[in-house]
Amino acid sequence: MKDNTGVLLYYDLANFDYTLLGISPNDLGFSQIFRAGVDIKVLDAASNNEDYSGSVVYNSNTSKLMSRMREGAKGVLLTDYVLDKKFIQFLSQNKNFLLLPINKLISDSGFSRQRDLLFMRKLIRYLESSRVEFSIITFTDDPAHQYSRMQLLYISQLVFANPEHAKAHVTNLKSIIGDE
Amino acid sequence: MREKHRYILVRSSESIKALLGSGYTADTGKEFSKLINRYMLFELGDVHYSDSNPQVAAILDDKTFILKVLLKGFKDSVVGLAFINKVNNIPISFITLKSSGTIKSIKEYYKSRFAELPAQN
Repeated sequence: MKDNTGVLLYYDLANFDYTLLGISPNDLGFSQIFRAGVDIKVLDAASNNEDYSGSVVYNSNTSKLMSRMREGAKGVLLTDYVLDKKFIQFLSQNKNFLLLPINKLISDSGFSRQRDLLFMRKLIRYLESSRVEFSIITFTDDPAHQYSRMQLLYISQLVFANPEHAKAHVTNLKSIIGDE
Repeated sequence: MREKHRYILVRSSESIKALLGSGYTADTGKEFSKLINRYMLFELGDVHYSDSNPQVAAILDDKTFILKVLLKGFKDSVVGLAFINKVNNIPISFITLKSSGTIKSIKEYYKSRFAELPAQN
């Protein structure tokens, strides 16, 4: 997404309320950092008696996620980078979006991180070929790990074949969640 | 031909004093530079480390410093800093706030955004 002067606007999603901590999205280079639970409804697909319409759901069980999509959830927040082709085809057919957080990648180290990078690369290649809308986000619980735009972009570029595609997927959060 | 550099403004989640521990001496800059180099070498590996050649150019306050890197290894350095999550067994994160081709503009940005007092070093 671009502003009136044609400058790209960057967005992120955090899993804490940064306004209480005095963190400014502008200092980190973001146009806006959305807050899970405040700006975007993020729900566990396993919880019952919830209104899922318009929400973003997360769970490791893909069949549960699919049933919540049928109940009106519009997006999925991934908890791991494991590729499930059937699930991605479902997202593609139903025009649902996917949020891909890098918090796991950052908290891991050594071989685990290399494994994450490899899986993420495969996943992204498949998402791009399936034409599923997705966005790369930080989604950290810890304010100390709320990284800057520069870091989010360069980490994303590690897993994209084309660096320009990485840029497109760290600037599209606002448009895919439909917060116009 | 002169090699081009890039300066990165970095904010640490922990104070530099806490990271250095017993290594905190009068020459903080040198000790901290050694520490950062050690962890950057671990994250980047020999090949990418030599492309980046990171050096602590200035310490601006207890948590903020300027890292000087080669332009060729600039992106690797930013990612390498993000991937450091422990220093001397202390959980930590380094956030890169701004980058520039001159140290002067980084210091000016720091003064305008984060500090009232003039920067040290």
